[in-house]
Amino acid sequence: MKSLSFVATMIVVAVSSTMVTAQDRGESLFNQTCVACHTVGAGRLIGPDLAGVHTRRDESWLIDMIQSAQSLIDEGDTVAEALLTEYDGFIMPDQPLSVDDIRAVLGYIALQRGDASAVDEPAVEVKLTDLLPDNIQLGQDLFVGRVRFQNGGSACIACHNLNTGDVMTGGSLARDLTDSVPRLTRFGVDAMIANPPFAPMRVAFEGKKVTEQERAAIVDYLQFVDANQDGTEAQNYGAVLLQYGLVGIAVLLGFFFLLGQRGSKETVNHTIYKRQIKTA
Amino acid sequence: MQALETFLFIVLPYIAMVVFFVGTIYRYRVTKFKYSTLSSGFLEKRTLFWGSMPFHWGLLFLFFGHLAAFLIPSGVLAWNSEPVRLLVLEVTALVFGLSVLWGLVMLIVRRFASSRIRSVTSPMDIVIISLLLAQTILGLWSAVNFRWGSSWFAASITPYLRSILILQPEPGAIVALPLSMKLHIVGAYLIVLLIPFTRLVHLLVVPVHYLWRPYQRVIWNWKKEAIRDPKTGWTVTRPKNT
Repeated sequence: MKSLSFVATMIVVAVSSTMVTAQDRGESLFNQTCVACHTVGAGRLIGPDLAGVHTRRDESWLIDMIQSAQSLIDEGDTVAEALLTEYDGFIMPDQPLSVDDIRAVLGYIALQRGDASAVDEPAVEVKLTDLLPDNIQLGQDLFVGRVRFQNGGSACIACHNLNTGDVMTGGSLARDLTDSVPRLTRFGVDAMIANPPFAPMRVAFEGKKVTEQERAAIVDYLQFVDANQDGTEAQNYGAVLLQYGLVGIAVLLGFFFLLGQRGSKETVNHTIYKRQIKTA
Repeated sequence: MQALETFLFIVLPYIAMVVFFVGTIYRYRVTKFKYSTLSSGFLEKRTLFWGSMPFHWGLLFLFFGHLAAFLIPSGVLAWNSEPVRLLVLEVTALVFGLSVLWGLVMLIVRRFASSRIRSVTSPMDIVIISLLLAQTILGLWSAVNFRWGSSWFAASITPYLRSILILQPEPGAIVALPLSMKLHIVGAYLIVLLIPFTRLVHLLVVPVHYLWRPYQRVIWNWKKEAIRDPKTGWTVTRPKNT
């Protein structure tokens, strides 16, 4: 009897610990992946408030949507298309999560007691005049890399461009951030830097978290850039790069030409070959 | 993730590495005397110079550039932290990339324009040269269109390559990259895979020791000029039918 109760206790402990683990997993996945764009009950950010989402949509639809929103839209899913229109054409990036991961996240969301209609705009309005010049400068230096991130992450300019004359043209792998603050709100930009939802950025900052102070400076700078843009189109840097490249290759070929002046220009048996062709 | 991407970014790199190691060792043991560049410098030299020099110097720079971003990503990011240095690095890499393209085009022209070279061209030569051309164009396209590749290679692609090497592949970041970059990565795996079956094996047996080998003195036992001059006749060594 004693051993039976021991076994029963062990089963209860094992089952409850599995449940706790699943719940923790859902929470940690939510905080790593979803929190940049979604809240549970604190209003909409870049994406919808997810409070009660498990009651509004089928689980299979949610799994498809989370794994690849683009595929759902391509298939002509009306709900996905409506969301795309509602959120100004901002498509949710594909998430490399397994079905079990997604179920864990949905389980975590279901446990939250959020009210979707409670708050509509969580971000506190920050006026341009409230921004400190030092912070804007720090944000710019961090953006271009002149000041390195404390934890060693790559500078923003590697992948992002800003349509401003203040800094060198940025990368074109990821989205232009000139109007990021009005588009995503300060809170949204901050959340995206803290928990990047896009895989290349997530990988780049894995173990190299951008600190709160650094994030604040970058958000200030981005807000400043947006407020000060004069509407002129950015220079097409790809074409400029190509021009530099063509000048460079001309110089390099000139160098090879000089090298080629040394030594024989024909093969050692050139005259023999010539003779063969003549007689052939 | 789709099955094709799983294959290309998780399975293919391992297939390429296994075939590369087993294939190159096997071929060295079996066909040792064909383990070379199968040089055609004796058949045609003038175009070879304009193809081979820009191609090989360009490749050397780009190879070590990619290797640096893989081995010391933090060093590359530190270098790129000053915008002017980033620009210098990117333009230099682009110049060497264009150098490879120029050289490759010259080598292709030479291979098809010269009847001698055409007759020593194998089907595998055509496969590998097409692959190299595609790879070069894709790399240049990515460098110009998705700029500052030196930085985002170090930040986002290096972790993927390392994940492959430590046998815990994490291709998430690669799947989200533009198509030209994905094709460039697949192209690289295919080239590694095909090395044992092509003349590219010569990169494993580059005679680097020539650089510090002592000079060799070649002594001819007769007076060359005398033999070559038709007026002198066979005064030095007479051909014999013995």
